[in-house]
Parts: sequence; structure tokens; C-alpha cells
Amino acid sequence: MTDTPDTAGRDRGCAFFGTVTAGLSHELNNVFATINELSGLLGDLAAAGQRGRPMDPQRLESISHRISVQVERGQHQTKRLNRFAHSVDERGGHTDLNTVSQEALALFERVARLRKVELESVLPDGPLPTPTEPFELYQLVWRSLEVAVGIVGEKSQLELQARPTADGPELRIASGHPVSNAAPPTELVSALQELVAKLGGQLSFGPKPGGMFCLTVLLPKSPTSGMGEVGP
Amino acid sequence: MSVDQLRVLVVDDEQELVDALVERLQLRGIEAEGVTTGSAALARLEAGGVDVVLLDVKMPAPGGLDVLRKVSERWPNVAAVLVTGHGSTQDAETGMRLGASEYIMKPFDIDALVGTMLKAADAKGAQSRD
Repeated sequence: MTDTPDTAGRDRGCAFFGTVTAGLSHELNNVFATINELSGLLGDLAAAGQRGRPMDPQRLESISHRISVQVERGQHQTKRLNRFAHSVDERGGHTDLNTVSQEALALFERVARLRKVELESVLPDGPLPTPTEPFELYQLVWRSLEVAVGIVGEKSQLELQARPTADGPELRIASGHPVSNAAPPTELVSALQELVAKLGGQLSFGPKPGGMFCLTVLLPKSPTSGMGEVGP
Repeated sequence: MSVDQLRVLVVDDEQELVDALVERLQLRGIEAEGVTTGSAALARLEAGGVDVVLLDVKMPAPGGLDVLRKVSERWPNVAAVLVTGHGSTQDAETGMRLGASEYIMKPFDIDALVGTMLKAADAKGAQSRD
């Protein structure tokens, strides 16, 4: 049986959802593991105190504060996971590219950290309405970052920019330094190309003067004004 | 080997977890220290005096499995215990094939962890005596 573009797109969407939620659950597990050790340390110090070892109240307070910091970190991650999960069932209307860019960047942080890539963003102050479903917009930002990281490689800096243009909202990811031997990761590029075409957008990427790398996605102003052009 | 003879290197990119775990191990009489990168782990192993390296699998390169490969090649008497998150058993199984003594999942029970590390160190000691 041959996959239709719809089936392939749905499969890619499921795979994307799995990748993001697996990454977030890993991060949450790290939070739980850290809380486990910090609370265990409190218990160890209390037990040592019962055996006669002097207890330092400031030290106990410091550990308690460290636990609170981890709880707060976990809360942020849970909220992010919740917003991402709901992106699947929010349909119709416009989605704010600004908000989704911030969220997707935060979700991508773990991948970037593992690849030693520093991420920065330049985002508008206000909303940037885009005629795209939220889940697809998350995918667009994530997949664009994946391609960019795949091209610039480890120990790099990338800047993500979302801005309005006369032709529609634009997502732009650029390297902060010249990139040599930038071979695009074929599978990631084709997944991004298919998604951009589906959204009626226009994708361009490649080296710029001075060897800098830049990936740009221009999205249509409205669902019917799609350009559907894709190319390096 | 007894607990107070054990020398452990904890390697995890979660600084808070490393700090707390190292202190808990020290409170149990174990000579423990921690680092947060694979490179720092290799540098510390080079200096010697480590019986067990407790290695998080998912770290920026060199990751846990990279460090494990080096440990197996260069310090075969050092026991490696891998630490994985849930759902990462594939990495753990790869690690076992690469020479890890054992793998455990986060979050872990400290007494079970100490038991696992002692067993791993004893097994390495027995191997080196063979």
C-alpha cells in the first residue's frame, strides 16, 4: 500500500507529537529525580541530626529553597506540555506566530542543548496572526529549527526571528557565524518542504554572503493566498 | 568491598542532582565527587582513583555512551553504571553491550543505588583478580 500525502503528513505529525512529548517527559523526569535527591538529602540530614550531628537551619532552608526552584521548573514544563497538547484540538482562525515561536523554542531547548547550539530569538512585542492551525505552526517552527541545527552543526548559535512583512508573516532562522560544508539533512528538509507546501508558504534556505546560513519561511496572509513554493 | 572503600564519580548534566547525590553518598561514607560533562568525566577518570562511574546516558557530546566506550577501552577496571530516564531502555541495552555493569532508571532509591554500585565494583574487582 502506498502512503498518500495526507497519510504521510499525519504520520509525521504523530511522530512529531511523540518526539516533543517524549522530550518533555524526559525533562520532567529529571525534575522529579532532582527533587527526589534533594528531599532525600533533607531526610539524610534529619536522620544524622537524630544521631547527634548538629543541624544547620540555614542549610536546611537552602535545600528547601532548591526544592521549590525545581517544583517551579516542573510547573513551567507541565504548563508548556499542556499548551502543546491542546494545540492539536484547537482549530480554525488564526494562530499567533509570536507565541508559538516562543513555545516551540522552549520545547526545542533540550535538543539544542544536546547539540550544543545556543538559541536566541527576536520576536515582535505583539501578536503575529497567521492563518495556520496551532499544531502545524508548532511543527513548522520545530522542523525549521531541526533543519537549521542539522546544517550549522554543533557549537553554533542560531537566531530565530518572527516578523510581519508586506507579503505575510515570516519566520527566519539565521546563524551568527559563517557555516562551512553545510550539507542539508535530506529527510528533515523534505519533511519541512512538505509542511511549508501544505501551509501554502514559501521556503528558502542556504548560505548567504559571508558564509552565514539563513532559513526563511514566508507564510500566506490568508489561507487562500498560499504561494506553495519551496526551494533552497 | 565495603561502602566506605567505594570511590564514585557521578556524571550528569543536571547540576542540582549531581550536588545532592554526591552529598548523600558522602553522608554514607562513600568517597564521591561529581561532574556535569562527559569531557570533565574523562579528565577525572584520567587522574585515577575511581571504582565506579555513574553515568547519565543523555548528555551533550561526549554523551554517556561515548564516555562508556572510553571507560571500556582505557579503564577496564572501572565499573560503569548507566542512568537513564524512563523509556530509554534501548540506550541502556546498548550500554550493557558496550560493557556497562548495570543500568538504573531515574529517580532512584539511594540504598538500591549504593547496592548496585557495590555489586558492580566487586564484580570488576573479581574480574581484575581473575
